[in-house]
Amino acid sequence: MKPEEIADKYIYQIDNGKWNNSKLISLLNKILNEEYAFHRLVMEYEFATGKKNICISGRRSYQGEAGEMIMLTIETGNCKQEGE
Amino acid sequence: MKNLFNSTEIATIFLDKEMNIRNFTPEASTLIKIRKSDVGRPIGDIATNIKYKYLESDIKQVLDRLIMKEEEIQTNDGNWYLMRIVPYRTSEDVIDGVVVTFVDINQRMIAEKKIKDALKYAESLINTIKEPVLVLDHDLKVFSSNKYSMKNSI
Repeated sequence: MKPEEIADKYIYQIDNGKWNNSKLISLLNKILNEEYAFHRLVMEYEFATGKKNICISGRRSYQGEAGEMIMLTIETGNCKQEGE
Repeated sequence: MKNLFNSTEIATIFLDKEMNIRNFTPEASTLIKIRKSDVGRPIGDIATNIKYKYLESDIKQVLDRLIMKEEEIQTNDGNWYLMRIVPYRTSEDVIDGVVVTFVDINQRMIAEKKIKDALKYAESLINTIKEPVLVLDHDLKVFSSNKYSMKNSI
């Protein structure tokens, strides 16, 4: 995923739909609606070299004229299930 | 009419079709070094306080094409103005010269710069994170991302 390839696209559209994960989308909506944050959601992701777990953490990052924003950080190494 | 003209507080210069100065508001003298005795002189002969060398050619272009022209220009001391050159039509709808106005847009330009600086700062912060970062807007569209793509990080 290069920044120019994903700019202004819906999260569930990018990367050929690899991010169209119902658990992730539901957590993202929860962040927007309830000022909620989640830590290290484990998601299986298919890299060119094969499938591997990634950990996604999300929190509300900014509220201004542009509306609420969500910042997602993605860990790609040593990602083990820890629960939310 | 003259009082109205002088009370606009907008730097305005009226030129005839030969680009000679016909009239101006007092504020115009802060941008163009113009005095009452300059009425009748060509605008190109007058020194300016603006960092813009195309004033004369822009005026000529407006007189030739009769299409308004706008430029954001800066004075030598750093203030921003919106310069607008508009053909002047008489009540008989005859082109009789141009009107050049300079509207102070300094506060707007300062605010725009602050926004640009803040965006650059935010971008530089997310680029210091060594893992991929996505920022989504309230529609769940990607607003920005850092330089660490998923493909590079494995």
